[in-house]
Amino acid sequence: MAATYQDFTNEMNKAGLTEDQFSSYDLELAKKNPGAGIELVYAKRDYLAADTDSKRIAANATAEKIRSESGGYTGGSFGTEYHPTETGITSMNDIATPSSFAYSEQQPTYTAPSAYNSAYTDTESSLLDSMVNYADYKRDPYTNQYAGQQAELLSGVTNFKYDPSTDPLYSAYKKQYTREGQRSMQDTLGSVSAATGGIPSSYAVSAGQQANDYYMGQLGDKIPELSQQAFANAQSKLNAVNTQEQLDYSKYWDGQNFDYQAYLDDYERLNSNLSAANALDTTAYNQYATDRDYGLNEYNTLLGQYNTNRNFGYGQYTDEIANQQYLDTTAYDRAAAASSAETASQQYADTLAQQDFENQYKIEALNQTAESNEYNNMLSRWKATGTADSATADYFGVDEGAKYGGAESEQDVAKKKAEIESIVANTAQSYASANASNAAAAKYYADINGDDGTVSDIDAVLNDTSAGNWTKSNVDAIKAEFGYTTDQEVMDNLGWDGVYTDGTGGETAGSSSWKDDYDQDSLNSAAKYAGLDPETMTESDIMNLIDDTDNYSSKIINGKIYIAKKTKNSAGGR
Amino acid sequence: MRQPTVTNDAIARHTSQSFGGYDIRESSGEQSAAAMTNMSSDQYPVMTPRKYRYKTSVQTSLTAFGAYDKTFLVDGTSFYYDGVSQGTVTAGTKVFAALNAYIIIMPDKKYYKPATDEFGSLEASWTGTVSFADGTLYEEPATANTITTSGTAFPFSAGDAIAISGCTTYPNNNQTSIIREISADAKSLYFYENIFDVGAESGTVTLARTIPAMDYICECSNRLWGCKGDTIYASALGDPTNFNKFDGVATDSFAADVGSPGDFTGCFSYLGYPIFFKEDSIYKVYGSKPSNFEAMKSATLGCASGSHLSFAIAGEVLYYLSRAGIMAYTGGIPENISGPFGGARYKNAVGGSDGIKYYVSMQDSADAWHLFVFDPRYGVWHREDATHAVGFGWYANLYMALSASVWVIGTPSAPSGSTVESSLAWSYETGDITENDVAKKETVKLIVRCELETSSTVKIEILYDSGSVWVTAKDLTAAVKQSYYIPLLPRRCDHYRLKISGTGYAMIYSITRETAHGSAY
Repeated sequence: MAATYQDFTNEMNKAGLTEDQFSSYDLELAKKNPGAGIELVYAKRDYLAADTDSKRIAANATAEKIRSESGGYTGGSFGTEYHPTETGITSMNDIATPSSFAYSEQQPTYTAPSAYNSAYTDTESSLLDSMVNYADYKRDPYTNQYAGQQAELLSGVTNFKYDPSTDPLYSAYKKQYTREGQRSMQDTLGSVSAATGGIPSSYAVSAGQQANDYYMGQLGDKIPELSQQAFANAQSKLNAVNTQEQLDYSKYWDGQNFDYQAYLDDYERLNSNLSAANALDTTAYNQYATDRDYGLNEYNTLLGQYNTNRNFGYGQYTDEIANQQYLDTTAYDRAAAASSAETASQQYADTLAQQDFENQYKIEALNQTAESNEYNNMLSRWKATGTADSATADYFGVDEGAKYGGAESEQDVAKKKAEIESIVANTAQSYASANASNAAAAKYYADINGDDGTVSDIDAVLNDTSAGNWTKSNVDAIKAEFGYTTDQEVMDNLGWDGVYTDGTGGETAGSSSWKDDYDQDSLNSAAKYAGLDPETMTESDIMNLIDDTDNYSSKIINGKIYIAKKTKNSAGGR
Repeated sequence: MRQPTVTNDAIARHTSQSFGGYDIRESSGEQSAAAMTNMSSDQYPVMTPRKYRYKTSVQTSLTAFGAYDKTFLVDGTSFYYDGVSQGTVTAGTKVFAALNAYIIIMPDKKYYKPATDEFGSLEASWTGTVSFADGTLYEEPATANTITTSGTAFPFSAGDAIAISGCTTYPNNNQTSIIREISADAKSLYFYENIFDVGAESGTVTLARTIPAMDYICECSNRLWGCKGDTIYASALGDPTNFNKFDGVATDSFAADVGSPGDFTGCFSYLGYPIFFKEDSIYKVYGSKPSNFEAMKSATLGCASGSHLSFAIAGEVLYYLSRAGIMAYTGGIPENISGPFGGARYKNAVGGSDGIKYYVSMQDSADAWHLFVFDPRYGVWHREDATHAVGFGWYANLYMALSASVWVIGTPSAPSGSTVESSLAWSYETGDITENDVAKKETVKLIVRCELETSSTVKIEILYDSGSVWVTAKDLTAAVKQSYYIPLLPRRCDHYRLKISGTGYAMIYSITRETAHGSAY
């Protein structure tokens, strides 16, 4: 199983290391190739554990080999640098292109089997004949045995006329109402008669009779209801007979449907037999087809394998081309990146030089301010005492004890003031002549001349501006202008490795050591693009390239100036 | 001149103009009669005898008498109505009640209908084989409602409640039901539907319309009421033949038991209420129909046993004999009016009234009979004689039936065909007369103011100091109204009694006594 970046992290942790102890190039390599990253962990672990220089050199050599083989770069003595491995790819024309592809393996061949011959043809034909000649279905006619009743009952409904004498319900009601009527009559008779000593009066008899009449009247009231019920009863009878007839009809159809279903079942049986024969035939044919297809599939498999093998070979071929193109492209990209870094480095150096100049001018301005301050102090002192003491006299060039006031003293003072103003003016003029276009230096000069007085020495200036873009030329300009020396440690903090790092040599202007300021690969690449001879080219030639920002880019990375030729067609990046 | 002192000779006059009624108490005095015969309050306070009686019939062995439009009685084993035998009953005493068109005879459970001259039994019965079947009712087919027979016709009427008994094949058919309709041939009885188990009954079946055996009966509100033991019965309205109709209507029969001790001793219809008596209580039945009949009891003196015929109304007051004497009942608490009888007790009273006086024949403790008359107008009793009346009845006159004859009494108008009694002997004996003087006295003269009917006689006698010899003072025969001076042989005494007796009708207006009062010794 291929290693992952997590494996790299785990191994790093086990070795007691952190990502801070790896350069960003090493970490990038570990992400792309965790196995290489793990090897780097082991090498760095060995380096840190080494107790002799020879062991450390051996561990560094191992790491450099891993970086070179897996990442195409080296990391320097401490592994923190990035030095691309030389690839020879300097232009897009150097990237590999594919040539023609040839495959030598023999292609497989296929031979088709004989045609299918069915063993079920006769059976199928016979069954099909039976189905084609299957007799038509004949249905028995339906006879309604209730037709007479239905007609009679229907006539009873349509010609309905209520006859209470034939209605048993009326008979029941008549008995009920007659009974209750007679009971009511008796009860009324008895109750009313009580008012006349129990003897039924004519009123009592009439009341009793009318009580009975009331019930008889109610019986009459029942007739419409009973008529309705009788009519409903006739309808119910008709409905009952109709329902029964419907049941008979349904039974008739059930029987017919059963017979017809049996008829269909017989037909379906023939159909099923035919289907079974067809299925057997199909099975036999499928077996034939399977056998046939097996050979064809085997051929196709072999053909596929052939094609796969050929494609694999073609893939290998194209992969090799692609890999070579990748390597070439990578080398090209790295060279371009180095060129760009050189440009940035140069720009940074220029900025630093400007800053150095401005700082130096500030320093000078401070000194002038000090001059001014001393003048003012001395003048105030002379004015305050009215008599020039030794220092005042010495300063203004008058005799000790000379009185302040009067034309003479004013002339002496004016003279001294002119002297000082001349110094300031010369300084500004010097600065302007040295770098007339450096607005920042002018500003510093103006500040100093304005008695700002906040910067006392160049070291402080450098410290304050360490985050800025001070360039070596700035510093050199300041140092040359104002005669300052610099603290080597401060300069080392600026990271201008190779310029002030030796602690003793200082700058070696005019020698070839200026190349130390540059990344050699990007410097050589830029020189190659510019048509310069690396052996005879001067720093001025390179500075011209840096200044040619339309065609070159430069950048300072880890104290090295990277310069690279811009790609004209790189608008979309590559 | 000196004149000798003239002293009062102590002769005083005492006049009695009010002659009271019968009062045997020691305190009766000259104002009441300690004994009397055939006296009357007709001219009260004038002393008069009763009117002559008229004999209307002679009977052999009369045991019950009544009058309602006509007189009716039981003589021997025959029931007579207006003197004509109408039917046969058992021998013995009877109670009658007149109900609408019926005369009810108990305990024989017989009836007589004067309008149709019909005599028969209140009950009816039929025995034979029957079938229970579907039939008709109100001209419509009906189920399980018919009793039919192929034998003799049923003797029932529609509306009769009959008891069916003897069913063995269908024992559920042994029940009492009301006949609703009867076929024209009276061989099919129709009842309400679905009350029988249908089928032919194998055994002999008895159908009977029965009435309870009531000891005492009366009519009230067109119902026959009666009682026996602790039970009160009422017939269906206007139908004394049906006592078992319980149809839930106002014309139904009625029966109720009461819980007080003792049997009923009589019943009478008074002020529109049937009232039932026991010796110690009175039950008054309120209500107008069976559903609201209610017997309300009053714990008071009721009718003495054996005196159930003593009830009679005189002056709108009902009188009867209780075990404590004759009671006057006005619907509330009865009042004993037997004070003048002293401690005498009577029994087996039979009463009657002419609407004014109450006549009662009752037997004293020595089994002697007395006929007393109470006049509510004056609150006085009079004794007539020792008549043992069997019954009384009012029909234009007051009839009094004896076991061998029937009389019209009181103030009669001579009924056609009647015979007036041949003689009238009467007497009035005062209580002890002391003239309000506890000392000795001598009555020397009587002045009697009287009027005698032609041929009537009056005798005046005196009895001194409760002796045993009545001394005749005078026999009078005067026919005109005048006073008679009757000198007496003076006899010193503590007290004395007068007895005025006579034959024929007479009126004694007053009696004045001249008495010489002496010393206490």
